[in-house]
Amino acid sequence: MAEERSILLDEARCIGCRECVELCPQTGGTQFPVFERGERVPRVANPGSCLACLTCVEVCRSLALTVDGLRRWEGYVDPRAGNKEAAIY
Amino acid sequence: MDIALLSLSSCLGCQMVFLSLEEYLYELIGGNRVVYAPFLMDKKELHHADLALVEGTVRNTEHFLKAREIREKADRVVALGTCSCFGGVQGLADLYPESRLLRSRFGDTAFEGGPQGVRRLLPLDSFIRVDAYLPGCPPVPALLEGFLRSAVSGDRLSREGATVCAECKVTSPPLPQPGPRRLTEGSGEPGKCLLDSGFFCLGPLTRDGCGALCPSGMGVPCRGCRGPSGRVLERKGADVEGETVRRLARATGKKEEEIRAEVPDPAHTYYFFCLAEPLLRKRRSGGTSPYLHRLGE
Amino acid sequence: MAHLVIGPLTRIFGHASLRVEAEEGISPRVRFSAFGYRGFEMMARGVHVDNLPPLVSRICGPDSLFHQAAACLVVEKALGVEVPPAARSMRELALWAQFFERHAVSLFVHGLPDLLFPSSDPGLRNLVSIYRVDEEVVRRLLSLKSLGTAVLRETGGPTVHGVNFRPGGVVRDLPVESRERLADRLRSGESLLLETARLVKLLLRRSEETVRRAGSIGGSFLAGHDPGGMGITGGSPALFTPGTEVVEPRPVEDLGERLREEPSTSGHVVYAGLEGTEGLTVGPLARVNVNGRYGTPRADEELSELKETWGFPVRYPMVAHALRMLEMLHAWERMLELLREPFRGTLGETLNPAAGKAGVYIEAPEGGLVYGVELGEKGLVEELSIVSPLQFNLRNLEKSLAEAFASVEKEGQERVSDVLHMVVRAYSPCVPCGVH
Repeated sequence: MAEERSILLDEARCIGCRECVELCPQTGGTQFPVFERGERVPRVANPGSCLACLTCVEVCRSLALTVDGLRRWEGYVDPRAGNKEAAIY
Repeated sequence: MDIALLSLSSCLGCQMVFLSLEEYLYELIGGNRVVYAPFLMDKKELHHADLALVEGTVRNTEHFLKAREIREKADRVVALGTCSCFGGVQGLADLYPESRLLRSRFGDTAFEGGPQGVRRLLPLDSFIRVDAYLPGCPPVPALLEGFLRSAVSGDRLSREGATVCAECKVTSPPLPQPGPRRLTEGSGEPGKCLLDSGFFCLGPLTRDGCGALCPSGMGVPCRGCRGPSGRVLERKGADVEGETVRRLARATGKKEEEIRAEVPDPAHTYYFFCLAEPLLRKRRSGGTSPYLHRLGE
Repeated sequence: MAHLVIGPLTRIFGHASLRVEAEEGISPRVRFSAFGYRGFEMMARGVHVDNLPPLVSRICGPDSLFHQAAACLVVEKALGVEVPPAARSMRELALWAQFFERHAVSLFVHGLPDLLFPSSDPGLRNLVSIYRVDEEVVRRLLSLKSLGTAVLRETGGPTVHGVNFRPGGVVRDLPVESRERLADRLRSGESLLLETARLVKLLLRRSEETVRRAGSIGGSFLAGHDPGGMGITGGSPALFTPGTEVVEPRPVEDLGERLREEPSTSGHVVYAGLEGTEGLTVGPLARVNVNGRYGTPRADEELSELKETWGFPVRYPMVAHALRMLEMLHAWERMLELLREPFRGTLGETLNPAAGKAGVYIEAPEGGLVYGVELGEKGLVEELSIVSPLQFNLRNLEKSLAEAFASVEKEGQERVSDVLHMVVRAYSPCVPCGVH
């Protein structure tokens, strides 16, 4: 049994493409899928099944998903000086 | 604050947005000194600026010398617009050697005292150190205003970046959809995700900040004018072309090879605004290297 | 040989400098020198036609839609596609808006300060300095410019490099509410627009000495022969050569064959001309001389007064400032007419890839813009050629500069620089378009 995780979906950002639902290894054909298709946007049904592989975070085009407080790229600022990505408005 | 505004090799589009700032323009020129702006005023020389906004990039030695002069005289240098940040559309020149471009237009004309061209078009930070970047082709007025407000008040000149999709107000259509397609074959259904409708939309790979004006507001697929998103820039594994092809294959129910076969101009389709960006050059898969002319040709 | 370099030129669209070659006993020569060819013709090779308008748009921000329109028209012509009327009107509306905005910048930001404060330090003749002494003037002038910007925003999304044009038509229509809102906004600028037109007229009359100093131009005038539309959505160009036995403008049906380009050794702007003509002029002067009228009441009323003051055909390059103002009036009237039109029906045709070849001529704000394209079997762009207004005007510009130089040569370098700048601003050359 995986450790209890929290998966947050920012519904305002999500456009409902459902790539997360399709690509989550713990969703298709499992008894306790992490995601369900939902109405306008997917629904996080069983966060306990999550393995924290972060496929959904990686694939999300709107950066709408957070797993355990980790939204990978939003707000990500590299502390190294002179890093281009850290200085873009 | 003393502000300088100038352009190197560019289309002047960013300066036009400067003039569209409306109320904030007055606040800016009323509360600060514009010390150098050849587009707006006759000051021939720059002595010192706290903030220099540089539109465009370096196409020849004249631009290079100007850029270096600005670097020396300005405390903070801002790359204004996508040309300056990532090379922009003019970066597509890197498909060909510079000598070939010139020969095709001017034959063997010998120019009197003209500057030397650079061998490859590159973003401004390949020539001088840049303190902050404001991409956009051009950045929309609200974004420019927000940036200038931060700059004038001395705030951090970066912004938490997401992707255009994060700002896009659309929903996904039922799949599969026809495509891959382009606007010349007709428009998509309003309010529906253009990428999932089979169009070449670069929203998932492009930096936000524009309010998704084109895909959301106009029904026009994102061509990536704000440049690559943070993830695409930072991660060597990110593949603009591969990810778009994968999503289009999913949307249309076709094979990836079939999608690729329908793109005769991949450099223009995937790297319209950032072919010249060195960070995108060498990638495990994808990347711009296959499209760039080799130096020394 | 005495050489004088004036530059970089300021308060113009782009980077350029002037090289004066003057020698005792020989009439002086002034070369307009601009470098920075970006290679747009080559970049366009092999592109899908859907990528062509956004590509050429980046040649020039202030004229972006004109490049897009020319690219769309030339592809449509090559493929034999007829664009539906709703799309044509939508394009025309957006083009007038950019026309208006471009002229507003070229007048208010670049040209007008010289006429307003001819005897002050050139360093102070600009909107930023004027704002320090009179906020209201600057606000009013820029609020006029923003009328065009507002229409651009609603018709094209981004105000620079709008995204509504596509080969075959447009993407989006303008809803009735937006039309009404924009029409109200335009009408709210009416008195200011008329007042400013009066101001420009007065200022120009006051500057008669400078106007005459910049000389007059002879030769032929080339413009879209189409009162009302002035050919901004693609028209048939016509040539008018005053002072010859041919008194009517003659249509130029073989423009493509007669077009001649010749590289300049002093910059990347290639001279363009028509075989069989001398001293070709395009732009505001050419448009008025070829068409004789604008085709909307306000602009034509003002024009008849201008003709009385400065004569007709108009031959003074500096009078282009006043003509730009009249064209702004015309653009304003046309935008209102177009906003009133109910738009219905399809917005575009589907394009089927095929081979083809075509050339088009349209009027950009500073004159004729010529696009030629060859499409290959798969409908991809194989060859693209672009001739921009500055290329046509370059010889006359250099001629006017030489005349002006001869008339102020003895008055010191500062005065020379000042007057030559004014002449350049009268032509309002677009350097990014010129070097493309």
